Amino acid sequence: MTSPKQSFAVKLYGYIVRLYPRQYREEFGEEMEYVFSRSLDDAAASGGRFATQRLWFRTILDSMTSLIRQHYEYREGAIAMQPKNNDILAHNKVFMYLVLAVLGVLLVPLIAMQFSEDVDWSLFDFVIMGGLLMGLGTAFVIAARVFRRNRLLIGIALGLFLLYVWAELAVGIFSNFGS
Amino acid sequence: MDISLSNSEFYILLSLAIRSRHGYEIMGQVEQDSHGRIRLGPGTLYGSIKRMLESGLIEEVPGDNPRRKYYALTEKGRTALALELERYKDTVQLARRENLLDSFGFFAATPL
Repeated sequence: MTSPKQSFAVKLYGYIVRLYPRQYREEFGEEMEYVFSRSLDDAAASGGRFATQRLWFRTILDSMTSLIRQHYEYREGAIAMQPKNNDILAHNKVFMYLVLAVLGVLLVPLIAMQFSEDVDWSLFDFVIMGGLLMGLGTAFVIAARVFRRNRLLIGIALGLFLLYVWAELAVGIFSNFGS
Repeated sequence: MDISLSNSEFYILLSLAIRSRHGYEIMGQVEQDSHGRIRLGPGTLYGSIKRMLESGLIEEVPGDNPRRKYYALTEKGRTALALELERYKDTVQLARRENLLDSFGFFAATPL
């Protein structure tokens, strides 16, 4: 039986799948979500929370590399694609740069952890921060295309929101989420 | 035929050597065959499947579950896998002749 958390996780992975090139997504998207869903079931059954965290960490890394590769291959014309006018998430190299940028940001605490005990991120922290950065980055790209004249304002608003969420998760301002 | 197979592609072909499978089954078989060394995420798995479909090494076939996509080796895929296994066999035989297996601490239990 799939728990609400697992259903949410599969839905979350579905948003990652939507970042792939459209033709690739149409052919393999459903299968990718099925594989992830079954892997999630296996992780939950075998190792509980830590196994699930490891699965998410591996899945995010896997998604980052395969997203870059698939967008590159499709851009090079490996397969002819005709994106629809309203499919704003497909075939856009800015998402490749976004993935690279998020990876670069996450490397900072990862490297810092090797030299300082003051920096102590768990797998879950990496997953949450990676998801947060990808989500806000994607939101900015989409919103900036719709509201072209207010890009700076949108960027500032999302940046402040990121800082607030980060502070909330780190120390807790208005809630008890902070550690 | 000179087809260069990545590690993932080799194990995927190996998993399809016996019977057709869908993606999740392929993923599980690859992990089992590689003793846990290779864990394919959905992105890597289907990226490899896509490339092998384009290369004609595998093809989509009907399966037991109509909701899933099943894949099987083509003749070209069988030949590519056989050539790769032959290459591995030659490499191990060479290592044996040069006594490299003992030098690196490998103990071959079964002669080829």
